[in-house]
Amino acid sequence: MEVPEQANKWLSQLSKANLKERLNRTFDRQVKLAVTGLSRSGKTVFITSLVHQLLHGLEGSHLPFFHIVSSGRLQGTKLMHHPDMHIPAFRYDPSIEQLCQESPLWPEPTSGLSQIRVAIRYQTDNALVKKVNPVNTLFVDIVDYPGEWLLDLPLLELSYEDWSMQIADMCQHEPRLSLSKDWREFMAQQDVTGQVTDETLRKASELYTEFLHRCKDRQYNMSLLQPGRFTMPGDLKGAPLLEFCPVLELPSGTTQAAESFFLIMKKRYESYKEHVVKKFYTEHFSSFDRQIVLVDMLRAFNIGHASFTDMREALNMVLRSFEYGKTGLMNKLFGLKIDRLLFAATKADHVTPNQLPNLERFLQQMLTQSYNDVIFEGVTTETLALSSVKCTQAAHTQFQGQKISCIKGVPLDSNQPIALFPGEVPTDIPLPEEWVDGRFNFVEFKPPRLTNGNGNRIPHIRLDRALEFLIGDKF
Amino acid sequence: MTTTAWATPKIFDLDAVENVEEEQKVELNYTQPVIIPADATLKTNALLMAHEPDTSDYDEWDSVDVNYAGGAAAIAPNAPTRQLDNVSLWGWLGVSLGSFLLLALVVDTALFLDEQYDNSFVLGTVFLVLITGITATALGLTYRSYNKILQLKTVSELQAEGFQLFDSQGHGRAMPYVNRVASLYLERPDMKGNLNQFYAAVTDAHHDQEVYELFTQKVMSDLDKQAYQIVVQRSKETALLTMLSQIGLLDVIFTLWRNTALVKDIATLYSGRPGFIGSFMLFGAVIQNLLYADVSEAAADGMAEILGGSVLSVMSGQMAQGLGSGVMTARVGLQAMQNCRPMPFDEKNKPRLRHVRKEIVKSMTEVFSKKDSAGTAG
Repeated sequence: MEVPEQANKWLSQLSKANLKERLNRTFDRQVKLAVTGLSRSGKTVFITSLVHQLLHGLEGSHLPFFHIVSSGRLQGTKLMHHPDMHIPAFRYDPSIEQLCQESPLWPEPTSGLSQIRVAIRYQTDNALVKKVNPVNTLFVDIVDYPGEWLLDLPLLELSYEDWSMQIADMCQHEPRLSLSKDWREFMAQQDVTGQVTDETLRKASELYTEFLHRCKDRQYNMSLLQPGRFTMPGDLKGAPLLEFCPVLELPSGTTQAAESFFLIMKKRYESYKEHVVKKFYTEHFSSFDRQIVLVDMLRAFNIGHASFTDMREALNMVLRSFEYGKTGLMNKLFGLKIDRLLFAATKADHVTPNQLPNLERFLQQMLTQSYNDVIFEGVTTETLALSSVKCTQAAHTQFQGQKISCIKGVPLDSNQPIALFPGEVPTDIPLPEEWVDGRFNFVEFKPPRLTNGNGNRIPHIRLDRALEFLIGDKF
Repeated sequence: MTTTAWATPKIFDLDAVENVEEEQKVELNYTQPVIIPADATLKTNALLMAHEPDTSDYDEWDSVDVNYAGGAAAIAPNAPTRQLDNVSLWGWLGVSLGSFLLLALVVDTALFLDEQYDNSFVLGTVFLVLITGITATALGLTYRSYNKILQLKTVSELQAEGFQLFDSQGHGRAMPYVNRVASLYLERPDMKGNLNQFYAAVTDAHHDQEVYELFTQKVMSDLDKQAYQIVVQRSKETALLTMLSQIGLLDVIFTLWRNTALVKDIATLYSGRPGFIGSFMLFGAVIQNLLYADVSEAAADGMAEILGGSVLSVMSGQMAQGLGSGVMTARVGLQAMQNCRPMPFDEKNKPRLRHVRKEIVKSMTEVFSKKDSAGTAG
């Protein structure tokens, strides 16, 4: 039964344009890059900087480890119109303008889906290809979207019952225990098997949404907030699709009203999955060649153990929903699966340079589970500490008779630069009792003032190595 | 009477037991974050400022100051390479013989001068001046060779340190090292551009391995290319001349001469002129390394030609001989590259004999076909 269904699905996708795209990708002329990261992990800044570095690839020496550039085989780069007309284009220009203006600002966080395509023209050094076609073009497609939405992907494999139990379980622990108090108290009064009014349903989902928003608060910085559209609705703002919530206890008996709380919620959950999540997944997330996972660990460090474990859980959960080396027949034919995965610790400029190796090691430790899984599937992986826009400067000074290395930058909430030793990045995951107050003080910084206006240099850390790893082998 | 063969389980009071091992305690071992007081003097790496967003001046790069402000790397002490006990007797013999000869020479000279002064003041003075001149020149030469030998030593020290840096994921050790390597090339106008490129590309965020790679990419790779060209050129010459000459002894002398010159050229390219004694030492080291090289490597790389297993040998014995000596020269050259390059090669960019061999064969077949076509034309 499953095979014809698969084939049907595949055939329906086989429009002419689609086929051309698939051929392009099969012959390495197109790369689809998945920029994955929870909200506030710096996806938009990363994409902006990446595109900027690529567009200015011909100038200067800012990408020494991106070999196509450093070997001088790069012929030029250009922003292209994306063939999918119904998806908004990534707002590169406004973002870069914000970064490069007189008093620079971080680009606005993303509230919807957008796409960008960069064409890279290069001279091949493959002796065979050289004879036929000395100058080739590689199209790099990048999708930007709110990180919150990623957390919907795991829902695809969960039934309403399973999901409810998962949420109920999570609400047993702090800080969710106290944050969800209102919602839980309201739910405790409801009879989930009985007849229910619209008013009650709305109230329940409102309280649940409020709870999610509270979890997202900077103070708590929880990551695992499902469904993702509740905190970042995008174009679905106010849509009835978003009016549901999990239940805390599954109905035990078999007798329940036809229009019971539980059944209605379950129906709405399923239609959310069907109409929102599945659409998002099949249109944008089912086919990628390369993936980068951006993780901002520093905020989790600042806030504490709960925030950290929550982020780890969320990331591992999200990574499970990508296809790594699955060997279905169609995948085998076209080889469309993620075969390179880069784990990147962002904001590497917020720690002192000598802590960078620790940052990388820590990230690897944190995602061991996903790491092992993808390696098992034969995916090439790497871990990097990078910074899309470097906004601090390394320095060192004498402090209490000892030489101490520090970073210098302008904090987000002030105009005076400070010098700071933000704490050591541990190499092993600290035990809960080791996350004491005052151990870490990772400050958020303002973007640097670029001397050259909209010019050729956005300082970065290791973006070139990220590029080399992600697309370097396609040249 | 019941005696059990096993000890019965018991429960002890917790306070009554002494731990064999220290109880596991969570120790908070970390450095507190600090906001540096505003009046503290901050030092940034002047050289690396070039990348910083708020820099205004590009001119700084030209005056490359190699004093990296970062923590100086402690060089791991090398294990003593020579045991004093083993050499002491021979050493004593050498020292005493040497001082005997020196003393005899001095005494003899003094007596000789004294004799000349007895004969005539003018003659004595002339001889004194001459002898002083000879002594001064000899001392000068010795001093210069000594300096060159020290330089060779620096290279081997740098190499040893480089090996440690290869796999280092650390931070802060590579810059001082690279600066020391760079100081070898500071005086050379042809390297200035490369060095500037390197210092423009490196940032304080690069860790050791990256700095190493970057320096290789920006500075060493150019030198490697030149050295490689020298090796190819010399190997071709040797191969052709050996192929054409008919006298065996001449071949040997010729090959030896080309090889010493080759080693010297490569040393000059990488780390400055090695000097007379220096080149001999270097040549010795190269040959020694070749002799002790991995047998399998040698077999894979060069023996096919030497034993006449190649296609060329089927065509002509003379040609096989030429190829054999060409490949030998190439091996000496590549080994010399490894000995003289201040930063050790990693496996990726190590020069390969295979490639040189291809070029030699190509140049020989070219000559062959030219000869052939000349023959048919004539």
